[in-house]
Amino acid sequence: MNLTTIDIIVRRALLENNLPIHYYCEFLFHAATCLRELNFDTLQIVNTANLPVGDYGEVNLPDDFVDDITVCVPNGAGIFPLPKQDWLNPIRIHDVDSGEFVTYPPTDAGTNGLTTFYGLPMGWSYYWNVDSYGMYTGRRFGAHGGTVQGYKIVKERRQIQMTEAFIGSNVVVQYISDGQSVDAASQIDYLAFSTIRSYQDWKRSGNANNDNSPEGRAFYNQKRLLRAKLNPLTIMDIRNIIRTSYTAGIKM
Amino acid sequence: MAVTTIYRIMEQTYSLISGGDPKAASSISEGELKIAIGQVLNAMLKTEYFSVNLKMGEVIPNGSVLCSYEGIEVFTSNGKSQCTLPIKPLKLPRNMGVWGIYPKYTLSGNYEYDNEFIPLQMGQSALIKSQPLFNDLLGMVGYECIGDRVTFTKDIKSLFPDVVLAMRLAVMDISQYDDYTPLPILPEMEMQVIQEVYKLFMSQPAADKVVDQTIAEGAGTPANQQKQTL
Repeated sequence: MNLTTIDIIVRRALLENNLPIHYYCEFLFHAATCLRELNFDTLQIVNTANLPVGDYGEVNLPDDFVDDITVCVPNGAGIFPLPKQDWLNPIRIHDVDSGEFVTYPPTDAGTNGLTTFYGLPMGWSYYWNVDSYGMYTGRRFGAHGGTVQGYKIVKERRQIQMTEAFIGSNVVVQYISDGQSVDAASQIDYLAFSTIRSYQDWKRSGNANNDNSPEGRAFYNQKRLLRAKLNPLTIMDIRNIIRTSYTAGIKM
Repeated sequence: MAVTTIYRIMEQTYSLISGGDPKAASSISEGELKIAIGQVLNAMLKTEYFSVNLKMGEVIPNGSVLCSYEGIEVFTSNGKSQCTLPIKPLKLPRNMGVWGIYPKYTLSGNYEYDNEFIPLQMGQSALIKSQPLFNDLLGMVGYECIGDRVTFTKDIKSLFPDVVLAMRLAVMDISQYDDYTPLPILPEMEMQVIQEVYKLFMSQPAADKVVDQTIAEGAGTPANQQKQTL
């Protein structure tokens, strides 16, 4: 994919408007604002970071974090996604002596249900639920599926809190960036060039706060085109989806 | 057409003011006239920009006079690299009077006229520090002008101890032109300059005739009007 830089876009804008370098900053500010807005819903720059897990299961969020896509456990060449666990308490506790944040004591019951039964793991009855061929017969009424492992994004702490049972020293986080990190200035999708340019022209016009002005409409039209250009779906993809969605059946 | 020089304009104006050949004892000096020509030219260049360039939607001050200065020293003050403007330029929108500042980072290097520093408005260098995307100005060097002092966003003096600067300033710096160096002014401005300078000096009393009590015609001249002419 071709990438451009914010500097190229800004200098191009100066050239197109026949303006000297003294207008550089104004165009730079508008371009940066546009880039931030486009990243929320259109460009959606996805960054991946391998982040360390701290002593009490906390992971510090990257500075340009907007929203999470997935939090994964790395294992070999793979990354295995974890589910969100909204029952995690966002409030931290600390050790009364040292003042350091510490982990919560083990949870016996959460919204996910009991994890032990009279001190035994909930899977204790599994052994008796197989027939003579070793096939599982079910009948574990009320038992839950899923896992208690997972994470919760705690934005006010600018951290991810992992569950207490989490084993591992790091997690791989894929997240939507606000596009405001230093790297983002040199990693702009070339397709967004015209959209950012039209935003600059709109915000420099007298209708900067009017979405329905000709300049505002021009920007939203460019944004619409950008979304269309970014859509990766081709006719071949659609055909392939249809073809792979049916299976051979008995001829009646 | 002869090349326009400051001496030529001065001579023409002087003749008009004096009503002929300038008298040796004139109360106006040649140096005075040259300074006035510079002042009038700067005022005209600014008026020209606002009445012609801006009216046409042109922001770049084409036709203006840019004076080039090289070898401007950079010094560190209060932890920031700074330099002093060699002359106060025209006050144009966005501080365009300071048309460009260009670095020469090493003694043996060249002035980087294609890599100018980024101009900031007063106070912007502090404001952009809060913006993660461009708080470093994308790796470039910015500058703010406050008075005759230019302050840079990066400490270029520490990074490049031998750095010197070149500047292009929108100003008619008359001190840069000797009597026979062609003046970079528009041909249509020549007549205007002469007229404006003439207006400035037309109220000066013309030099009187010879004050000599032995000559009868000088005897009745009041003392405050007596001027030695020859």
